[in-house]
Amino acid sequence: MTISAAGTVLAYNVASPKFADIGVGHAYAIILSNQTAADITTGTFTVEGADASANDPCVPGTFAPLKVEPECSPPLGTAAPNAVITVDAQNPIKAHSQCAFAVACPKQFVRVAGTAGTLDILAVVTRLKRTGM
Amino acid sequence: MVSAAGTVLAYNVLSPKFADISPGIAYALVLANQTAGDITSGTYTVQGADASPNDTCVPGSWAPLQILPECSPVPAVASKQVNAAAIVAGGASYAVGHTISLGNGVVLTVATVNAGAVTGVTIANPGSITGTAPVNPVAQVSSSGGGTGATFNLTWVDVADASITFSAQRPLKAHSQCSIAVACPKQFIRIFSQGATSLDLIAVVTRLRRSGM
Repeated sequence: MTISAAGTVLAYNVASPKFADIGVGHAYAIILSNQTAADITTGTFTVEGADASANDPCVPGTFAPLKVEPECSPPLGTAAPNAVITVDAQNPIKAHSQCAFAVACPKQFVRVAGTAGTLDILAVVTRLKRTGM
Repeated sequence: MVSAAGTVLAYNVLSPKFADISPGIAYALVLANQTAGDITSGTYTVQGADASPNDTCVPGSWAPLQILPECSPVPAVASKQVNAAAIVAGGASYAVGHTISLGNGVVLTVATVNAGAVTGVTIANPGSITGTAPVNPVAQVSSSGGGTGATFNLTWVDVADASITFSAQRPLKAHSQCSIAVACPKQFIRIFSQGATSLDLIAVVTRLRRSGM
């Protein structure tokens, strides 16, 4: 039994320069999907965010890397690092698998910079504000 | 804004890529126009496949998913499938589980019998025809057991490929998206594109079985 989720989610290709407007939902995920039959063992991907343009709320302004807040009481003065995912031989994305994550406190617009290669970089927005779902 | 990571799966489903939607209870196919221009042409057909008999993680043969047209005219290219089979004669020497082939791809499975005569069937394969439906009652072409003599009145209904066509009158507007789901999909789905390559075709699987979300 499979039912419809149409209308309850939005989905985007967010491989830069494409982007997603996640402001229409309460929750989101960025998904790196390896739909090939081989592990992906290289790649550096930076999550970038942008507020809306001052002239048009539907258009992103300037993108910049999102910052990941250190957790577990970092030393005072610790600079927040960029939201970067590094895929390597020790931390691959296995064949026919995917990696999902979300950066806290994102901007209205998000995208992922990096060489995607055979990786599909997608964003899904759920709990849409307009439908209450 | 909270995280939805781990509660959804997402796939690029532009053929030949595909999605396995079985890990979730709900799914949607999203046709996203992330360009600044309307998309005014192209036909996108939703295809499905069961798992390969040799590997349940790999799709078998692909075919367009079929829909029962509702609330709108039946497309000119519609074909017909059987959606009901009424027993006219029960025949003899049948057993539960036997399959009865009726031609045009229609296969029935014997569900109940009485002294070898068929008293109930289910539709194992609805078949496919175009044009005029065969005259009832329909006799079997063959059966998997030794049964003979059963005949059926078949009810044929119009069906059509699950496809979306964009045109100047029905465009996919710039920076918008269209979300659909076809009833009774297969384990694997993908979208075959005959048109604009600037469209992003994404499947989202939600309410994942493993997480209970």
